[in-house]
Amino acid sequence: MKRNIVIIMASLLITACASTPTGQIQAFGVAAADVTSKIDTVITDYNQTNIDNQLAKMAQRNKKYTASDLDPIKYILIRDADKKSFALYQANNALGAYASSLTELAAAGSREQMARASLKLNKSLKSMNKNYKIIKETSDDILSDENNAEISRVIAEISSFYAENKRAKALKKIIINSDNQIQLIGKIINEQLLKSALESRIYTMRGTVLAGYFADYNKTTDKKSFASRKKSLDFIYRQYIEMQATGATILQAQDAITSVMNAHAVMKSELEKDQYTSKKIFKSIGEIVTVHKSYDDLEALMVNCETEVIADDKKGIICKD
Amino acid sequence: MTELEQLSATINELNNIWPLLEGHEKESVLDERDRLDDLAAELAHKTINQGEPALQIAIDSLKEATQLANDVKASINNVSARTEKVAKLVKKVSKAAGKVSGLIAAL
Repeated sequence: MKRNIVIIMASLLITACASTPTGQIQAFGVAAADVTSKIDTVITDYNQTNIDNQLAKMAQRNKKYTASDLDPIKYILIRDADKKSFALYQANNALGAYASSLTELAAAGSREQMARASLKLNKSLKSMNKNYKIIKETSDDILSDENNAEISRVIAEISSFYAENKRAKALKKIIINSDNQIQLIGKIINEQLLKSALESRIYTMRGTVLAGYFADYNKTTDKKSFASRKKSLDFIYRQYIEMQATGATILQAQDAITSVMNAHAVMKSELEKDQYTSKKIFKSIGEIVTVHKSYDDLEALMVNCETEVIADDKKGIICKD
Repeated sequence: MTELEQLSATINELNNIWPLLEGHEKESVLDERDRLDDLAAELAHKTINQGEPALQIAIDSLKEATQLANDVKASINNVSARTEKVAKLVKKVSKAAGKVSGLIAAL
């Protein structure tokens, strides 16, 4: 009887406390981690463009070369081995790891996980009851099936309650305390690393390759037919479009990082009011996903656009009609 | 405009000039373009590599937050692991008790 009262009281206590939904934080983590993995591809583009630039510079000279002339290339690449020491890589990686840890924490100790553990306990208690009856040679239960089920359920609920509380408190503390760092890292990635360093450099290096094609064209133009000149210019124009699209690619990467920064700021502000789920958070996560999707779309656009990739104030990055 | 952006703008200008030139003129513009390009490559490398002190502090701090999230996750997952441990213990003890009572009955 006493045990039953304890069970009922514990059940009432637990059901009276609302659970804390952390699904939106989990969704934020997934979306943000996707964005950071995409930013990593910018470094790969930068490496490839560096190689093209060095080879173009060599080809633009009327000189003879040997293997040792290719040595300088290896010093300007961000190799996988030393990539980890680079500020851009570290910053992006720190954002990605943070986003993933939020996802995992928000999913830790799920009700299903607790229920599975409690089911195992229920089975063990049943087996203990069975053994007890054999040992004591009695038909009386030490623990009835009903009581056993209730004990297991209460244990599962107490565990879930504990887990949810601990998870919610930790997420709130971590997100509120980390917002300044997220904003600062995002700003530096966007303004200094992506915009100032990578965009201007990639654009210039592609321009160097393009200049080589113009030099060839100019040198032989007198001897070529219209058809031949048009064919050469078609090819040069495709290189030109690729160079012009550099800004658009970086802009998309910046937008993606900005959407992560904004969503984090919204979460911080909502968590300060103990709102773990809200339309505002939902909307801001939706924006990360939209920007991320348009980043993928941009790649497809650059491959498929037959005219020119341009930035339109209203429509964003588009293929010119 | 940063130093790197200024260098890049000058290189872009030179790339618009040298394809129209020939001979010595072309070579001297290419020399200047390559000299500036090497400087720009070095500067870009340095920027991407070093960042700024505030960035490193923020990265370290974010890493600590990530570790805290991972620690809390582990401690939460421990709760269900402990319940499973109790279940195993109950099973083991009741099995052992069954075996002992079987032995006693056989004596």
